Amino acid sequence: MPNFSGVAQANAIAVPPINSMPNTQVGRVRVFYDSYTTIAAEDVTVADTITFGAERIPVGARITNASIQNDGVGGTSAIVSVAVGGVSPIVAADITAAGIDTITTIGLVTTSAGYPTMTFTTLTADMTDGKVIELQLEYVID
Amino acid sequence: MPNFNATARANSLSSPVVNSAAIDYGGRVRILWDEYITVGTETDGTPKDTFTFGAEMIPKGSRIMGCMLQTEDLSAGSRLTLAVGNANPITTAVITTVAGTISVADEIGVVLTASAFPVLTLDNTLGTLSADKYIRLWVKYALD
Repeated sequence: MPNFSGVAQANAIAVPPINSMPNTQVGRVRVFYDSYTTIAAEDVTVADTITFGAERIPVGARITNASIQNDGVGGTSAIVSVAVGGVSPIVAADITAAGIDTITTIGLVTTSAGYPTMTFTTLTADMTDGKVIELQLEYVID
Repeated sequence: MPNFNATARANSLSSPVVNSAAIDYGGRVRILWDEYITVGTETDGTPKDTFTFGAEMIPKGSRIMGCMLQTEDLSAGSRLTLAVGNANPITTAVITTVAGTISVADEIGVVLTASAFPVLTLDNTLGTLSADKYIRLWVKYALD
């Protein structure tokens, strides 16, 4: 029965060993949260972006979880994709109807510091006024 | 191509700047985990049976980030609703005879206005729950 090692395990048993980073093991999970409320006067179109957060997610952060919760912005198709720090999609979702969508790609590590941005890849009608779009991320840096 | 700013981003660009709190950025994600083993007498009714989880309350001001609930085959048609204070409900799980059913959060982002324990309410069941079955719960939250 052969046995196999993941990258970190192989690094650990290498000679000389290569140490793991905190974003691989024992790092602290941190929170990022922000929300956006739609405004009817701001007509959103395809390729428009919403920028989230008061602070950038640092370079080298591993995104361990992501969620979008929304009230349902209306229309027939409102597909968004979230990117941060040079990596995407963190989470992609159709926010036409209310609901929660969770992380699309696990394990991504930011290649630069950056604010999470949500880009509309499809939008068939203006968003309904007063709908809340929440973005929540979990990341590990240290 | 217009660009829009979410609340925290807009606050950081305002004058004077409105700083974000730890529950918005950089705060540590914490966890409450607990489990309950059924005794076989739990049923809905008036008042409805509830299950309280945790040794300590989740503090006031915490942001509820999500939860995961796993149960064995409690009984067909059982429905459990999870609340933590004003975060109500976090999830409403319909439990069937399928063992290992996992339910995730229906609600995220709520900030607690008072310290509270997670409480599951047995909203509906066809009879009593099966005995010796686990109900496992973790709730993620951020505070500091």
